[in-house]
Amino acid sequence: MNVQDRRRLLGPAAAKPMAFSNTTIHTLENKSTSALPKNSECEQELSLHTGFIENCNGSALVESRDAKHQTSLITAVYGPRSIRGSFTSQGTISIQLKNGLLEKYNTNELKEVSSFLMGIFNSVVNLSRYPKSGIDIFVYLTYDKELQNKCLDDESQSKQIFSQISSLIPHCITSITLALVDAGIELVDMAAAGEVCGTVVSFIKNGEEIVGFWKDNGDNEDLSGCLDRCKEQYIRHRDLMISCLMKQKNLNI
Amino acid sequence: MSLSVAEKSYLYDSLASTPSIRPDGRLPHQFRPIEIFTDFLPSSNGSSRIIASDGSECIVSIKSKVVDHSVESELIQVDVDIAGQRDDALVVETMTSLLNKVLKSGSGIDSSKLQLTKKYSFKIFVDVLVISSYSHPVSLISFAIYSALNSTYLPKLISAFDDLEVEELPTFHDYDMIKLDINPPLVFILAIVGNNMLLDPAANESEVANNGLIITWSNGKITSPIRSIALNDSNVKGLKPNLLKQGFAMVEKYASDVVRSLENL
Amino acid sequence: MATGFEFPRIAYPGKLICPQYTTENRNGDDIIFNYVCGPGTKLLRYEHNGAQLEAITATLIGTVRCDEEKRTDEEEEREATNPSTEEEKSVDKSSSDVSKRIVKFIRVSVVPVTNNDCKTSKDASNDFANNLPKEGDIVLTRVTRLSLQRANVEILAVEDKPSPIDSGVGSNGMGIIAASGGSGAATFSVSQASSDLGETFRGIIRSQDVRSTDRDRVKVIDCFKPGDIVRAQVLSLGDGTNYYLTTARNDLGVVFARAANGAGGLMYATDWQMMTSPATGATEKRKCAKPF
Repeated sequence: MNVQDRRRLLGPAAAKPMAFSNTTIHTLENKSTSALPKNSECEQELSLHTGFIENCNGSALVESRDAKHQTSLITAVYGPRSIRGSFTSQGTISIQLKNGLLEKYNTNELKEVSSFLMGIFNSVVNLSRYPKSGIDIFVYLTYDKELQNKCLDDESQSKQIFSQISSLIPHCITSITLALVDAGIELVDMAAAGEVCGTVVSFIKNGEEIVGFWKDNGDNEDLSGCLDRCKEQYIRHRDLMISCLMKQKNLNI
Repeated sequence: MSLSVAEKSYLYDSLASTPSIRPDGRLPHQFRPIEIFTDFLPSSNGSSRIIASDGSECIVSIKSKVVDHSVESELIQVDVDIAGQRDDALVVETMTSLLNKVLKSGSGIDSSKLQLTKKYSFKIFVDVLVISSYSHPVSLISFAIYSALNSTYLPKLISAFDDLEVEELPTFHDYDMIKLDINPPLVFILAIVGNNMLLDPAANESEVANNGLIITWSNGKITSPIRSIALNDSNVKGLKPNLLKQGFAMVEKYASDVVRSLENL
Repeated sequence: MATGFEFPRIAYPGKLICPQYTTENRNGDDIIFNYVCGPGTKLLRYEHNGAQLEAITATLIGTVRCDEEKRTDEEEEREATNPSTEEEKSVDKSSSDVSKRIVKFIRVSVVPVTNNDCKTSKDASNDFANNLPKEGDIVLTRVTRLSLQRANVEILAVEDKPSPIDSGVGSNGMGIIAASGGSGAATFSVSQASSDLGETFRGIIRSQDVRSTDRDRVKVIDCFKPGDIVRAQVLSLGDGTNYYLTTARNDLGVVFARAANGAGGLMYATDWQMMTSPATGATEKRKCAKPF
């Protein structure tokens, strides 16, 4: 019986370790010049990179840092590749989230987020172009660090931890969108999201349509205010993504 | 269930028309009939079995344990098992995570109701077994959890409430039980088809839905978690912001009726 | 080409490119520009101030390209049977005494930018991502398995354009030729999917699809051998696992083969069903593609 792992490509005995050439990544560091410094979540530094992983079709790195925490996640897109099994007239998306070095979130929470993200990207990717194929997206949470908070009593501390996974979701959406565009997968629109106090809203079509809504904290008091603030962040994230892609692809508007 | 392209387009058009025409003749806010049996498992503190008219069936069992609440802060733990799905399947883990958030102490459940003494509390284990499900089972499960928790009896404490100084473990009465009085949240699921909202979508309605909403209802108001959810892979689209508000309004209007009918069981 | 409409030069997913129609009056003639979605674009419905609008939207990042499409008679006939266009045509007739109306079809597409200085494999794989095999495409495949009824193959590459019946070798000798060499090789995009990982798309060539003559007397073993590189055309998307392919055309069939089940050297076609190894002179039976 052939039990060799066919996924592992074993090199010859005298093989040298691979040396990657210096990739010429066009980075874009953007310090938010938001004129509204009144709310702290607006003062967020985002750094976006694309196309730095060689062996996948598209990749993106999103790093964000604000007053409260610092996040970095890598997304890789593989495919469209053939899927076995019954005939599918359109593509299938699978998204996997993985903890990085810090085993911070339990797996069922990550799976819940990944199924939420699959819902978003099912409506964003032009799936009818990819019959019989699967698009695999892997998101790796490299780190997600809580920056020093001076005085927090227990209750707000626990609230802080609770709201964290939702503060991560907009960055997941940004990085998946970037990686999909980098991979040349057809998208109906650039999806991005904003987050306000545990509520994540993801938009397309210039904020006219919601593709994802996730609320983890609090009651349903100020829905329209929440939507508006998320939409502001969406537009900021989307414009940043577009200018990053334009720079990286050497296009000038 | 899988529908042909023609069936899907017919169903979509009839659901998206104004007023929407549902295949089983229901109103947009109308639930399918459900049957609930409670308190039938002798070895658990509370139990319920719910059967929907499409044959979806779910059993919930409530068990309890005395824990030191300074060590364990989470006093309710939900475990979901769906027949035919692996324990690490996406649906199972998503459902477990969602229901744990719904029943999280603090927002969903008043944890002081589970407190025994100054040191100890009851920890409630909710075991959900979905025997068969044809549409998204979250609403069904939450109804079953609601009725199971409302039929739960826990042993009566006979030792002193203040046990901080005296090192003693709580002792219980031999036969007397006390009814658990917590007000568990309910979860509603809405399908969005075109510009119409449909409560409690059946399997065929889910298959053509453009999007879905999961809304939690607790103590007479909408509360977190709220999610948008793709009910199928092929027909998902974005939704307009005003549909979100429309969905909330619909749940606000009809949720108390559902609560009342579940209470009168 | 003057279309009377200003296109954005660069597009990214979600960027609106143009409406479905624009009109222009030039020298008394009404010209209707009918924009058609090409690769990298999709017609999407938008709601603007309560009105439903349809616009061609980019789905890829790259530069916008528009080419005029020459419709064949057959296609125009098909268009005419379409009720919505028929309506237009009738309007056309009633107003034909006033002015002439010309309909021009313009294909709008978004072309991903490739850095010409570095032709990496990544660019080629990007091409493959948006050139999945579809009906009518010409693909390059490798034979993996044979049976009496069919040959199982894995699809390695998709040719960008389906070649015309005469292999494109027209009177001027220019055009797409077989993949064995020449400019034909340039029109192939090689997939990144490694056959070692079992991630390629698979196909089936049924024995009755091997050649167009004497279909019921085909012996698969006399047409292909495992490891052969076969140029084939996609008949249908098939079932979950396999595409259905055909080689029933002169320019389709084995293009590369090694003698003695892969042990010998490369063989060259000597006629339609015979290949010879120049080193040993041994011949083997194959369904050969027209070699040039």
